[in-house]
Amino acid sequence: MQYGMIIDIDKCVGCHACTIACKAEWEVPAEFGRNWVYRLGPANTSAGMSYTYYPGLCNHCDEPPCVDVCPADTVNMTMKDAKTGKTVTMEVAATWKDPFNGTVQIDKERCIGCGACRDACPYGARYINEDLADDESDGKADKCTYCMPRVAEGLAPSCVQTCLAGARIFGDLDDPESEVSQYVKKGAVALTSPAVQIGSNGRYYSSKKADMELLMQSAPQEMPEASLRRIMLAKMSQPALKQIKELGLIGLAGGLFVKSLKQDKE
Amino acid sequence: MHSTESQAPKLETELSTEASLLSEIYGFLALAMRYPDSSFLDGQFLDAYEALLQSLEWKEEYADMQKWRSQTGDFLNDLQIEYTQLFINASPGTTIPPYASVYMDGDRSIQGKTTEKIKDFYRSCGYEVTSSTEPPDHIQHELEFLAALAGENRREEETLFLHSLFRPWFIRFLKHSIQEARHPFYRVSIQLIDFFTKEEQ
Amino acid sequence: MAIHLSRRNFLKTASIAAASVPLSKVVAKAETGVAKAPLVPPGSFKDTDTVVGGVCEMCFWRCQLVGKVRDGRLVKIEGNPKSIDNGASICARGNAGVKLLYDPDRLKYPMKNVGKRGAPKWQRITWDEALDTCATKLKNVIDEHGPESLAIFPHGASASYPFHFFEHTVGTPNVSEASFFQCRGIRDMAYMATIEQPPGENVDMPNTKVIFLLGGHFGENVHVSHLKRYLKGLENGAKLVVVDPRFSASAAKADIWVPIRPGTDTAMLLAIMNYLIQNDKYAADFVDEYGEGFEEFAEGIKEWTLEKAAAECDIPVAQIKEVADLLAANMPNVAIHPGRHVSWYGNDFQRQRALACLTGVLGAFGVKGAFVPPKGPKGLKKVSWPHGDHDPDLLSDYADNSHDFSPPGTPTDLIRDAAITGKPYPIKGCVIWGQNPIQTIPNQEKTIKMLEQMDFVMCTDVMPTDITMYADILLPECSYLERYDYIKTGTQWNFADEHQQYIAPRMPLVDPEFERKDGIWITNELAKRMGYGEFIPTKDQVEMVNTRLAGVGLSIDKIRAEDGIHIQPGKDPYGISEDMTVIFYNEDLEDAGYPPIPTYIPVERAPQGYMRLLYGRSPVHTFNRTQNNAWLMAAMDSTPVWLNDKVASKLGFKEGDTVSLENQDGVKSRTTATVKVTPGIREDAVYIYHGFGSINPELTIGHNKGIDDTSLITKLAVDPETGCHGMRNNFVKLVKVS
Repeated sequence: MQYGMIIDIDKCVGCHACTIACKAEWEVPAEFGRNWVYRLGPANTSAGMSYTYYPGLCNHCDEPPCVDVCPADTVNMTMKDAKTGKTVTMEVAATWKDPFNGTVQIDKERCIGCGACRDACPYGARYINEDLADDESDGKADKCTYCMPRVAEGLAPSCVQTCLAGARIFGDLDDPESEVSQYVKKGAVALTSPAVQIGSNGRYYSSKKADMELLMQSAPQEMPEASLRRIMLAKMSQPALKQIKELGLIGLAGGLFVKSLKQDKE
Repeated sequence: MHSTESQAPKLETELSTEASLLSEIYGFLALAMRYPDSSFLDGQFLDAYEALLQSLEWKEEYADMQKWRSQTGDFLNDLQIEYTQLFINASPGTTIPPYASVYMDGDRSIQGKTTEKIKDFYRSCGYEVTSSTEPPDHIQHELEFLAALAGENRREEETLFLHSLFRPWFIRFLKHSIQEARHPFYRVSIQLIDFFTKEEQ
Repeated sequence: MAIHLSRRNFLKTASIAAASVPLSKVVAKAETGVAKAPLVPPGSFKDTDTVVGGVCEMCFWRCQLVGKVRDGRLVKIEGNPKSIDNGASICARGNAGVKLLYDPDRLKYPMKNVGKRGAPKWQRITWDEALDTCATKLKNVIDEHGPESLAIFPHGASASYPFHFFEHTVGTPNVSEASFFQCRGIRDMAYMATIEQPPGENVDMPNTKVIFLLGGHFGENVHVSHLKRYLKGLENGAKLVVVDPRFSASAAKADIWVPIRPGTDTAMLLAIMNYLIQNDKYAADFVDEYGEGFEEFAEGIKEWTLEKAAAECDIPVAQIKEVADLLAANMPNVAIHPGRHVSWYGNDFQRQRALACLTGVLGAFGVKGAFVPPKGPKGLKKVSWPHGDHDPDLLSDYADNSHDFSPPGTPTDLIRDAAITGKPYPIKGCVIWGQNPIQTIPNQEKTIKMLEQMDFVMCTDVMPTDITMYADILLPECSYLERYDYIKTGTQWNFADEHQQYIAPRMPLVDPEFERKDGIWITNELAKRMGYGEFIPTKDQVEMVNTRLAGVGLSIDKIRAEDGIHIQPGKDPYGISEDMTVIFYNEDLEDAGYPPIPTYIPVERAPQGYMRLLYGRSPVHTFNRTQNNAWLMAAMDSTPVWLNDKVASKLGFKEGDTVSLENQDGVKSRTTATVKVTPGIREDAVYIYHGFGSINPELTIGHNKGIDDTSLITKLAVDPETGCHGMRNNFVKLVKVS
């Protein structure tokens, strides 16, 4: 299964409730967000004037560049399929893509707060939560989890529950009968560009050409530089990576990240 | 002439005397951080305050206090206005809310997740804030809690609390209060709190 | 500071006389270990209690809520899933209620101002001292000048009880409610004068064929069940017509956007009606049966040809015709929205009358998709202060224009003028309860003058605001999350669904902190001290709500057991009552010297070099009330100045330029904002959000953010029939700030 989210722009009225409900649910510091609403326009498009919204969140991508760049020590982690109970054991760093539900998750306890994953995301979906600083870090990476802890309890994601317009539809993209899949058939698309094709599972639908045209201008036009380098590194085989780690090269890289994080703060 | 047998109990007595004195000081500072009223903030209290400064040899601060006391017509009224300005609602200027969560939780909130943590810590040590109009992470209550821990000579928990739940926010509070606290009583009180909660080098 | 000793050494050597301190507030319990707290917040659903009975008041739509409470701390607010109104949904502001509740800048204790009005210095005092002072000072004013010398400025659910005390029992008629005199009072009075009932927003949008909005900017203006109706209508295929000088959130979803010249709406409405009547495209049968004075009306608006209106409104003839034909083709199933905040140009009563008449011309009452008031529950008991035997001396009796169609209370400017001039009688005491007259009433200088001459000013509020700076005594009130008061009633949001009614009394989700008190307690304590103890109608907030509920056989406990909302079978709202009348020609208006048929009164146009200042809602704010909310301000903390793209290039402004605004009277905004260059606004107007630019430095977050539109509304416009303010008759130019 692959969880995904559709935003129906025809229905969205730009009320921003989704962003605040998320802040409340996960106690996100005011200046950051696990999701966002950007107001676009009013602006002229080839199809007339548009005034619309870009409600964004982590796209839980098929090929998430944020996962490969994580320099935290890997561990063997056993994941379980919530439906079948099937398990699989994977070697993961502090962030990974769940093989059963397709969501991208973070282990805050093991996150070192270096910011590499934040920098790698072309959508800007991650941030470093400085409230979660501990002895080992200046904070922890944080982002949308598709509210998996809520979903596990049979609840809708917080943003979906509060949406007065019913503009956010959450479900399994692998299930052709699901509402999200119906939307994909109807033409819901991801915010992609020639350079950014990483299998976004967040998609947008609008029947208005003008609104879609304006919204698509928000699609990221390039992959962040750091992540290109990181993707190359990730292409190296795991054993090779391990050897390098033992040589301490990654440790050096970690130091560089800490430095860049500090520079960012300034 | 000290035998090893007598040395150990003596050190223990020394430490426990120390702890009980520290407890009294924490308690005293907690009072200084409480909204002043005539039930406790009287001439005797200020005498004790000055005595503390003298014994610490904080000469400048002692002089500032004395100067204020000699000039003021109504010290309680002075302190009430000053306390309200600093910690409740300031105008003009800004308040420095004396709550841990305001400094720790990223979005300036009373009753934040830090408040929850602090309340849990109190509880885990067997304490609860009761019959107070203030949240449990008010500096007054944190100092009262430290006084209670010191009074029971629970050094490990005291250090852990200071390190994890007091100093991290107090440092930020201190920074703001140095800018805002003009009145010697509150400026010096906050410096005293800093002195007595700072980790030893 | 010279530190001579380390703490350790000090403790070893010190022998001081530090007072031994009783740790009375800290109670020892059993000892346990210390556990490490988890890094990630557990989520609002873990280890929390769901507390029912919340009724929101981040705005005044009053959605029903539940609270997720962990160990006494409100972690999250959600819509009550049992609600047949908002359901589990709430808006951004509703979600951010937690941040109001726990705002460190909130008022916590009663305080007295030991500084000056407007430049306060606060001293925390006891409730006894605060109430004694208020009672003595107010009593002195009454004894010296009579009860009329008290001016009351209330707002919000909790203000009703105290203002009724002052109005009914003490006996001052000088009450100015912002929700009437600066908001929807004109609408209610105009509809009263046309269809004999206030209209609410009672149009059946889910089941309509056309939604017609005049200035309504739904999406930027957010009321949950109202938006659900609107969106359902659009989903069901309704056509949307939006008349607005700005390409608003609603205009963006519209089939027809009419970028009308500001202030000319009535001309357009008259032309539509005239066209429909002349071309026999109106609901003749309905008008015959329910209309009054239709012939005189039809005759009187004859001059309003499409061409004349088009020229006046600066829109194409074809567009007015298109709108008129669309309405005619779909009548009577059309929703002519009455609006809400309609205090615009000082000619607003006439426009609102025209809207009501248009609804009549289309026969759009009582049928699917038309004007259909819900049939909500009846029978709640009233609890209020008894009327005294004092016969109040009304300011309107002395005025040149007595504003005969004024909403309840006294027009704001009659009060301010009397206070400033002392004529016809002095106004020397002021009670402000939940209202922020600095931000609600145009011409701030006048408001301040009024306050400065008072003998006594008392404010009750939840937050410090610009007006609280003028209080002598400032009282901290419980928020809507910590008190009982309002009983919200209504029906299911979509009339196409099973007919149901609901009763949802507001119940606290958490206990009040600090020394905050509810309005019933404060008022009763004040009344006792002022010598009105024998008239107190209810002992406390719980008793009041229970007494009211007893009228329908319910109680707080019963409703709490029903998850906070009582739901019962409802009634079909469709149909027209036999005594329905649409008064096209109103003789009472004529007798009072006002136009008896809806009449277009032109307003001044922007002078050379200036543009009309329009304001509206930010989707995440409720006026000035949410201006210190950490989450909402993080979402939107300024007032981008909407400037037409052509004007921008002509005047040399770019997107993001920092500007201040200066009005026709030379009044400059105290603060700045950035320019938003867009084709989505007319060339003769600029637009900003209302409610920003707070002066009060006690608002750590909201202070000086964005531009205060009210500060620029210095030229007053007063609607003649109602005495309500029109607030869109001021003009500004942009001044670049380097």
